[in-house]
Amino acid sequence: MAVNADELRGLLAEAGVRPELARAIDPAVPLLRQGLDSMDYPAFMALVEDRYGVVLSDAAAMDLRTLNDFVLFLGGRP
Amino acid sequence: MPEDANIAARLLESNLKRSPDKAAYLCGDDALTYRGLAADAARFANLLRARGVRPGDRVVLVLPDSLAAVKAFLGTMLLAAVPVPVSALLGQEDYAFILVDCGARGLVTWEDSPAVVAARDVSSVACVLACGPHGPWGLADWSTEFAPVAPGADAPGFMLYSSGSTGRPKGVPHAQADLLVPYAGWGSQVLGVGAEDILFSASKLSFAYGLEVSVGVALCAGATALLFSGKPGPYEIFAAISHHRPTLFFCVPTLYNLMLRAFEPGAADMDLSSLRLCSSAGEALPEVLCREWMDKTGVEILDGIGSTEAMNVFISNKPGAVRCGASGEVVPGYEARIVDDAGQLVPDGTPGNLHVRGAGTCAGYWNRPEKTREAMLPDGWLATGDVYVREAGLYFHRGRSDDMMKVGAHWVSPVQVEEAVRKHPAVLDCAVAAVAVEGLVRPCAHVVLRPGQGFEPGAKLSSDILRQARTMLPPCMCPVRVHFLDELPKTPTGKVQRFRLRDV
Repeated sequence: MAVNADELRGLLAEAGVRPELARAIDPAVPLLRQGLDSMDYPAFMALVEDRYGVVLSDAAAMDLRTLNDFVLFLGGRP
Repeated sequence: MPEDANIAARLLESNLKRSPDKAAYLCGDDALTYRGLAADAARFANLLRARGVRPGDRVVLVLPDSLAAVKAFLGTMLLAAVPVPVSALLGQEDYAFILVDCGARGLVTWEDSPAVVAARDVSSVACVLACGPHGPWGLADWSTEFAPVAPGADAPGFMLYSSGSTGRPKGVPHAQADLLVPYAGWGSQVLGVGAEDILFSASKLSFAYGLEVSVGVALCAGATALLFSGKPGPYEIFAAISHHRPTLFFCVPTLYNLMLRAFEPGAADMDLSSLRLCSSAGEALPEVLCREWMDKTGVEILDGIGSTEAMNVFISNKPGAVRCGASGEVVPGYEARIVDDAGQLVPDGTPGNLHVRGAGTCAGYWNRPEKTREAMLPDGWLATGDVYVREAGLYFHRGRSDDMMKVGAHWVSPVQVEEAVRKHPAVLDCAVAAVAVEGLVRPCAHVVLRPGQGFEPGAKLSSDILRQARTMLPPCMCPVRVHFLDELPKTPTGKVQRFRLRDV
């Protein structure tokens, strides 16, 4: 699966992040520094789990800070 | 009146004697000494009395965490009126409900808050005080002389609101003296809080956790408490810790999760070196999060469980003996028992309903006799609604005995979420139950689709259902996932069995 930052931006919007905010996300900067709050994040994580069939319950998930981190984790290329 | 009957007076006076020029509270760039706190609390009491507030009257406080908020809380208590701190993030309808429910006489809030609008239609409200970060305009004009009033046996000392299974929160009254209990056991004996400590609670004063730390423990210990007025995001919290250098930090798992994700060891604005302990409460701390926090930050994190009804943490981990995944041991001053649904004690290793008993627990909800009967049991026992397993003195959380969820440390009722989800045209029926995402509880909507109308289960429909629910619900209540099924699990009499849908 060719996961890329654009696809994940779409997922952010689906998770409830305002579309204009999701579109403007810089994939190299931590998501939490770009306006995601404590309820956006779990919604996004749940969607990532569903969409890509992964389980984000372990320590590795803690290191996923930027969209690029997610892309790499999911086997794509930033 | 016995000199220590009014607890606000007792706490203010003892700290005034001991260290009048020490910072009682820090907020942003401001500091409030114990001398200043005592003076302004007295001024507040004079102002409230002049505006018609009498002993026993309820005064609702809708304020961000600020110097004004603690002055208002203590000032109201000096008058033996009943401060009711309420979240500053609610809507007009929520405030209207609370103002009417507690029969509020006074309201202290910022100038154009939705609570002001709500109060216009509440006949009991005679006094609305507009308040800035330091207090109401003109507070300095009032006298600092105020003879504290002895609290009556009939009226509460203060009251908090806690949400339940229906849409309406319930008032949880406490005696003034209940404010002394958190320090007596948990604060002093478990956390070892002393006067030299600086306490920082990310949990606000309108929550029992925030109030017991920033007012109860802080004033009893004669320590300094840091208040944070804004919305607590991880970077803001790290900056506040780096700048003000608190020694103890109190926060909830959902925010610890974000902080850990944001944490960069060595970053200048993420200096945690002042912290000797972190405390977690409000929702169960996932085992992985507990371990990762300690590994990455080097600071011990003590999970514990408390409640608004106990106005305290009653089971807690201990410094130097943290067990990740456990809530810990019974806190000194409390007894705990785990019973089955028939009320019989269960042996170690068997899950059951947790009851606790100790000083300072709420004796009965405000105007909710049925809820009181369910939770406040004979002989002073409190039914917590939590399911626990005990093993060798350690208590492990196993979820709720009812269908309520703690999401982001907020109570979430499945009933309310279901009502919102059912409004979607594709939804025939729905049940909401807990799902774990990164070990933290979130609501999941289990949906039965309307047949014969072309609705297809899948990502597109899920997104649509979640998106619509988000327009109707506060953030922590929004489901994070939709699960489609052909029918909901039910008892033979047709009652939905939500517990069978849990995935934690």
